Amino acid sequence: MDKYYIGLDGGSTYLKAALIGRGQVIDTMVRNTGIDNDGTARKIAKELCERNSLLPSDIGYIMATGYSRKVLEVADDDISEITAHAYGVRLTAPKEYRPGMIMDIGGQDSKIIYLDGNYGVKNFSMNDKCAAGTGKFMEVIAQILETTIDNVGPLSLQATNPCDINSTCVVFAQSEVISLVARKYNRCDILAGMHLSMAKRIIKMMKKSEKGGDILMTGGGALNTGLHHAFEEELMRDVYVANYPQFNGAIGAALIASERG
Amino acid sequence: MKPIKKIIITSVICIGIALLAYFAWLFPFYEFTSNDFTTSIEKIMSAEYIKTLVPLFIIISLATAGIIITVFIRKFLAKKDTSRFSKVRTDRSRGNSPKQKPSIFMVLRWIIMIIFAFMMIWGGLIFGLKMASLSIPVLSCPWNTEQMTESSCYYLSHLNELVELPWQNILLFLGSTIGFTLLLGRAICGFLCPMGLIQDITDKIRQKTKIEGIKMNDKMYEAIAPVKWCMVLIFVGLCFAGGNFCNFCPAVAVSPILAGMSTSLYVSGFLMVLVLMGGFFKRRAFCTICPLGTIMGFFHKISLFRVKKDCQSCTECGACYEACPMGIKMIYTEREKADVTHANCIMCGECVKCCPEDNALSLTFAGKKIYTSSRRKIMSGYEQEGKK
Amino acid sequence: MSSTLKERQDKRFITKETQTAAKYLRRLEELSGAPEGIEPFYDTLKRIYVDMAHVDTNKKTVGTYCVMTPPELIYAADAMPVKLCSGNYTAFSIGDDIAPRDACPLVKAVAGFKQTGLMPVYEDCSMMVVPITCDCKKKIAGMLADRCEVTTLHIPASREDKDIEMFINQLYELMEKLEDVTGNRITYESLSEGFRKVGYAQYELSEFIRLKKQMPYLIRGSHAMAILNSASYMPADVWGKALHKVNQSLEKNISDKKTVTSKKLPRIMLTGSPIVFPNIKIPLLIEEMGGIVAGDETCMGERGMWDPAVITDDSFDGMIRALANRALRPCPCPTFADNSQRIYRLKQLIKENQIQGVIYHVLRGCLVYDFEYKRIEEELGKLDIPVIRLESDYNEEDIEQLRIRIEAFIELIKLKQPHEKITSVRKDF
Repeated sequence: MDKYYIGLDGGSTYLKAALIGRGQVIDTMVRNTGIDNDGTARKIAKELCERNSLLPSDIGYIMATGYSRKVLEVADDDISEITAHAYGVRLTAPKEYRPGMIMDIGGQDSKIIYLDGNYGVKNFSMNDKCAAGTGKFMEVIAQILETTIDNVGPLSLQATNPCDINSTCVVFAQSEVISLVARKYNRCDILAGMHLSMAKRIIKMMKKSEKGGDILMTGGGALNTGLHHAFEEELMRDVYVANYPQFNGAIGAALIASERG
Repeated sequence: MKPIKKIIITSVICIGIALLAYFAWLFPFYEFTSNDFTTSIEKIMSAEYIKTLVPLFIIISLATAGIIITVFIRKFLAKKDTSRFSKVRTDRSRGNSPKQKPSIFMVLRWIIMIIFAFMMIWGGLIFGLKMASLSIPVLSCPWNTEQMTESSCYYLSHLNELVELPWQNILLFLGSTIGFTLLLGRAICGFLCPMGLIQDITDKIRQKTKIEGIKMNDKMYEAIAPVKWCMVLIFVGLCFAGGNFCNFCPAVAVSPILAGMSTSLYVSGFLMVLVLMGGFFKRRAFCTICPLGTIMGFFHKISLFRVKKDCQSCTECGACYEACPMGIKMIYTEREKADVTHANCIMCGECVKCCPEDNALSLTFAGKKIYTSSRRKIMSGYEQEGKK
Repeated sequence: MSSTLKERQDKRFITKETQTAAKYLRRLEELSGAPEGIEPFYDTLKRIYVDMAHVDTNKKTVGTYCVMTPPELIYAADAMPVKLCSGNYTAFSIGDDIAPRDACPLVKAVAGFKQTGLMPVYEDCSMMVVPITCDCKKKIAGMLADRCEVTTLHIPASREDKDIEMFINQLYELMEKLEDVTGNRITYESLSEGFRKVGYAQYELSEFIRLKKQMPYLIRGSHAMAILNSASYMPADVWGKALHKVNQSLEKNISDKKTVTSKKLPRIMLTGSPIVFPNIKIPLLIEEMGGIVAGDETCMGERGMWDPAVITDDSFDGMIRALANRALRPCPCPTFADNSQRIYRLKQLIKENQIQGVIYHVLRGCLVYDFEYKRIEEELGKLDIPVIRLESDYNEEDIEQLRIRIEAFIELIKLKQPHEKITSVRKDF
């Protein structure tokens, strides 16, 4: 009988879960984390099983990752996000992707993971001490421009003449954007400028020497087409977007679980 | 120095040496009224022996005087250099530097050297000349007819006489010489050569008196290399030009005299003084220019004695290079090959003795390790410090 | 108010300094599996950093930096060498204002101590010997010169014969200065005595490392680091005797098959910039995150005293030669232009200690070590040994960052190992 595996990714805002079996992603689910991390995790696992008509005994191994991985007692073991993301790519990357670099743009952090040819982690860098270049940054700017985070991407693609946004810090950028709005700049142009500034910020974290292989975007940020576009413009090369970008960590954790169970 | 100037100086020195070798018989060091090559145990026991030993005494006293004068000149020259050769530093009457416990290999080497030297001087007198037809390539004078075995140096330096010998003798000579060279390689220099023993003894004396030596660096070794090749040319070619290498060879000054033969000495006597002085300040100074050793070095790639190195565990501390009497630098810079046997290597084992890394250096004979470096051995002298 | 501004500031400095040192010492003590007989080393670190007392000796002390300063010479002048390379966070924060931003934290900490003038270890020094291994050391030598006599040792870029000869001349000059400062003559006898003292410490150290190699998981790297760090503040013979006791207990543990852990923890080697107490956050983090520091190649660790001075010539000059030779030739310090021997040494350590991963520690601003990272990563990559570079400073702000990186690294190694499978059937979530 085939076993199924669950990966739980306890992020800063959302708890993501992925169910895999027979080497494929079967289902994914996302919930607000809430106060009771472990309770939410148990609930989400149960729901996943019910939705796919599975029994708890069908689940071979549960692996947790993310900030709150240590408190998710439902999981059998936990693994750091870096490892989980690197693993997840095996399932979520498009076929033509040659392993090289993963850009994970999350809610409050963004990281770059360098892979070797066999999807092993070679190195990684993270944004330290600052939320610039993360989903939070997008959220704050979107709020000022009176739009939602889902519309940010499509809107920015309509831009003709992107503005310059030079501040890296979220708080400073906020006041810069307010002054741009006051000077009656187009909303689309401001958003495009924001994406470019984010892209620049993240590209700075990349190591020049580790540019072998392709670049893959994961995390919630990858859902933003505007940001994807900005990266391709700034890097002057193709950037791939993972399938289930938000769930990459959870899928990776589930994959590791499948190796254990 | 400019290369042209270097070449000129080197060639002048080499030509000088060659001329000295050719006209060696014109410079008598000590002449007996008539050379007497007969000897017996009774002669050695009698007072007549002392008469034959006179040139040896002269050599030793000249060398001693030379050494003392050199030390004083050095002290005088370095009078202003208060640090290195000042009175405090050179007052070495008390104390001993820490030493590692003697290793079996080193003790054996000394025993073999002493026994062999003894046999090469008095062996024939005591045990007869049973092995006298064998030739070993050592610098032990064949003028001494009472050697245990023949030494190859005579016929190698008198090739014109060799070809006149009956073919059985030529075969025997070539066979035993090449056989020993292949079998032992330059381990002959480190274990058997009486000239080596003499120089090792002078070095031991210096170590005991704690007088500063002369540490040769890579540039000096480089500068001396042409002299070495010049010596090889003289050694092989002098006979064809009508000269006699034996008048020039310092080894003549030792074994025939000790064996009780009154032998007149020419340039060789002067050279022996230099060899003793050189060997005092720099261990095995003569070996670095020894023509016979250089010829044996040609076969270093196939001899059974080898120096092996574990390149990974080496820390390049250079202790082996510091200890090496032949100044082989490659032994510590080599990082690829496991075999570091060099043409100049005399298998004295000093490098292995001084190597502080476990198994980094070892001496092998036919693939079997006979002496391996060890951390514990090198630190053995410090072990009992904690018990004080 | 009765106290002056200066006094109040000094008091605050002392409180802060002692608190950090005490904290790290406690973390060390809390770590399980310390070998028997480690107490004298803890006591020394406590004495210097927590009690801020003088070094336990009645001799004059000579401050030294780097592994190139031969301690034998200082013992020969009847003085005691004290290694002043510092890992102090409090002094670093003061030195941060004195030294330029890009200077390395070690130098900043030294500058900080010099500025406050409160650390007895520094204040007691009759003289300091500073080998010029980098630009920062050069400038700090100039800075220290107005506090006490400072001798610099020029470190050549290569290790040719001529460089050794130059270094010998410097050692003779250093010897004269030592004689002037201490008032004692360095004679053949006293130099031999110096050799014996240091030699004995090195003998015990090589026994210690031999035992460590013999059985994996015999001792934690953080404890070993504490032992080796305290060598800076103890006379060599006293240190050697204390280490002898540790060796004895380790030997007993080997025969009893007693290890610090029953699990198969990933075996990690530390290399790169020096790790000096109290800046031992990295080894502590590794061991708290479920790894074990199985070996280190840092100059305040196993490498610092590993290479012995081998006397090949019995004269006085021969002994000085041995010192100069030892100081330069085997030294894997990245200050030398060609330092490929370090890679061989790392490979050897990896083989001997069955290392599974290498953490390359770089102190921010330590350029020479940072330069070599690339090459070492490449070379060790060929052996399939993962390497990561950890850049850190002398403060505690980056601990969380370091923790994530170390954790991910340890996981990477763990993933390569086979895992135990779960057999029980799941009933519910």
